[in-house]
Amino acid sequence: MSLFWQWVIVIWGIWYFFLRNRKPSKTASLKVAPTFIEPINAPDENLYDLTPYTIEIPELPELEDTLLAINRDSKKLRLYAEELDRHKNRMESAANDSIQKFHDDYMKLDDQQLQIYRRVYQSKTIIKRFKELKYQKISAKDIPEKLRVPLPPIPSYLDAKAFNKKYSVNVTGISNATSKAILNNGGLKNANNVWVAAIGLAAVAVADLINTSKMKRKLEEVRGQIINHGVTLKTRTEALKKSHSQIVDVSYKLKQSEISLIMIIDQVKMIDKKIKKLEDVSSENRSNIGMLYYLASEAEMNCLKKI
Amino acid sequence: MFNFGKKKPNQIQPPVTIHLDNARKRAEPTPITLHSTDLIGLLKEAVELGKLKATESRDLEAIRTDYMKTYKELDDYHNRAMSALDQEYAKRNKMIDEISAMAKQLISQGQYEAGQAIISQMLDIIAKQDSPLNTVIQGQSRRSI
Repeated sequence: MSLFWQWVIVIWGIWYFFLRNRKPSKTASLKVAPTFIEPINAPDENLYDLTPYTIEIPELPELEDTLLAINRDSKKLRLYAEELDRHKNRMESAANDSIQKFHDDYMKLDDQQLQIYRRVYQSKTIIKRFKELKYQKISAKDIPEKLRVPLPPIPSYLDAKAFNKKYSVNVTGISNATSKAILNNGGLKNANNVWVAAIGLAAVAVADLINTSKMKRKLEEVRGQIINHGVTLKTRTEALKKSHSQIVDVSYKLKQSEISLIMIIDQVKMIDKKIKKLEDVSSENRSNIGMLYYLASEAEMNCLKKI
Repeated sequence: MFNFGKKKPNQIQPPVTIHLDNARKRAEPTPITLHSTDLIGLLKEAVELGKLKATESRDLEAIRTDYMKTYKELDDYHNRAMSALDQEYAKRNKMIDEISAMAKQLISQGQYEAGQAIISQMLDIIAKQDSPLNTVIQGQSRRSI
């Protein structure tokens, strides 16, 4: 095989490798007739309520820290772990609702920008014949890419279920030995067994106290993680709130552009198509053409705005 | 050039970090290998309990100080980001409004070329601008805007 054919095969191979999975362009056509838009309303006040993120998370509960209160202390800490979980879930649920509504309206705005861009295209096509107005091509590709707004990553914290599992004191070995000491070889009548049982009970108590102390440290850390996650969610939510007001503002301006463009396009369409110079049209029509050019450009700016 | 046996300044950890590391270690559960007959084991566990109790308030304080430090950084970023977002939107809207008004005036006076030049520049600027919201989202993980 000659070198030429080897190169042909290599180039074809490269082309095939890179282009075989290429999908057809999904860019919307501007030639399609635009639909009417409905301005986006301001969201409900409660949607971006920051209370779930600013609410104070209670501190570690006061413990009795005595041998007799081991079970009560342990229960208090486990209930506290569940309370921390509830706080975190409440915050995430509120943040999810905000993101969902923001995303819905953001997608609506994206479609509205496309509809108005189609009217801009119509306007530009109509006035294209007047060479004094420089024609600038537009493409739907220029519309800003859709922004993905995710929920901030959840810190890898220990939830109540995992917490209970991790800090369950497994004293089976001690319990078994203690039970045997109590029940076998004469039970507690045997002085030796009394000592063994006493050591066993002390061992269980010590294990529980150790566990309680460790639990406190862990829960303090979890509390910090949730507090800080709350600030991150607060920032995300407030940023969305501010950006949502921009969505509403841009949508309103797009509606204004739609109304004005529809009116003026109809007037400019009536100008004799054979006239190709601005100086040949009446002053009123010249003013309409200029206005159409301006309104189309203004609408184009709002279509290109990134939120 | 060579640094045999000398610690670099940034390798020296401040005491708070050491406390924090130890506090975190002491928060991890340890398996119980104790039997009821094991008096020595019980004594060892009792000493361990004593250590835990003695360091408890210091450990809790170290953990709290650490997350409060992060909290402060996050809160500072929050304030900076919100202020930057407000400024960015206001600046952009003001710029567009002013230049649009100027272009409108020029076009209505028949000065198409000047009007077009302004509009064209404005469109370029808008197209190149980043999304202010995206800037805040991107900056959140590194706390910079």
